[in-house]
Amino acid sequence: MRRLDAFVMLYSTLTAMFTATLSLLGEGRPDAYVALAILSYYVSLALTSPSARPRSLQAAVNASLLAVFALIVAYRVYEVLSG
Amino acid sequence: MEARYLVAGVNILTVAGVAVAYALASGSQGLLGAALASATVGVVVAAYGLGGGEPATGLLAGYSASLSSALVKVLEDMDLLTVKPVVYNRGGSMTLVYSKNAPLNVGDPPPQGIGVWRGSPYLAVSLDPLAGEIEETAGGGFRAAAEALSARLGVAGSVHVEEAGGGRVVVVLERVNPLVREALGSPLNPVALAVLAALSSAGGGDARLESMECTAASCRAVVEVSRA
Repeated sequence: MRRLDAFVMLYSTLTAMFTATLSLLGEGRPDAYVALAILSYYVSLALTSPSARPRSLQAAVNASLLAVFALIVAYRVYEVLSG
Repeated sequence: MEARYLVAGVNILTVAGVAVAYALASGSQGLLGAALASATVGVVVAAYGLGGGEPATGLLAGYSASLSSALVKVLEDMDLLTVKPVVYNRGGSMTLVYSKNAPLNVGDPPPQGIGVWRGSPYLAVSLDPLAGEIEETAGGGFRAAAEALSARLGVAGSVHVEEAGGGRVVVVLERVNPLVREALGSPLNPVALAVLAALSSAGGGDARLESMECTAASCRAVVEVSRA
């Protein structure tokens, strides 16, 4: 199987599993779903390495998802510290 | 570019967008989360569709160019540089032959390599690896050949095949894949080779390239084909 195919299959499967699990658990915070989808992305990327060198668009996706994940974590930490 | 992933990513994004709108309207936080997770998948799949590609593609392109330049030197030394290539199809096994005396429907093609055949020097290359890629077109007619050239081999974004009479077929390729554009001027043109192999496979007979004119991103080839 081509590495890009393996990446897309693993990433979509992991995200679907996490989303279904969170939904069944009755999780109501949207950021939890997004955070796990982003984690799934990095896990899939590390396991399959779909590209030998990050192309500009993929590098932008990497940076954007990391920024979104950092914002989610920062917001949750702030919520804990302030509340 | 991996068009199928780009299309899949855009579709996922569209569905996720509708789900986000519905979740916001209905106030369902769980659905909003699932929709945003789906949108993330859509963005990633579309981005990899736009910029994706196997890491070895560049290596294989360089490898092909290196071998091609060596073979062009051999063709030059054998005075076959201006000869139009012929593809012989014998039961799905295809052979590309450069020779000044290589008529269609000739019996068995010469063995792979260089030598003298029918009183003329020749260079023959087996196209069986390529034939395996397009074997589902076998006997499928020219529409199957066009489909193989665009969808299966990715030679060009749009391929039109028309019969021109007298056993000739005109193939028009538009939006030729940038990976093969650099080789369009070479005597061992991979686009010409793919066109001959696809037409030979689809028609079940032999094919000879009569002419090929290319601009920056499009090509028009006239091919003589023989029925099986």
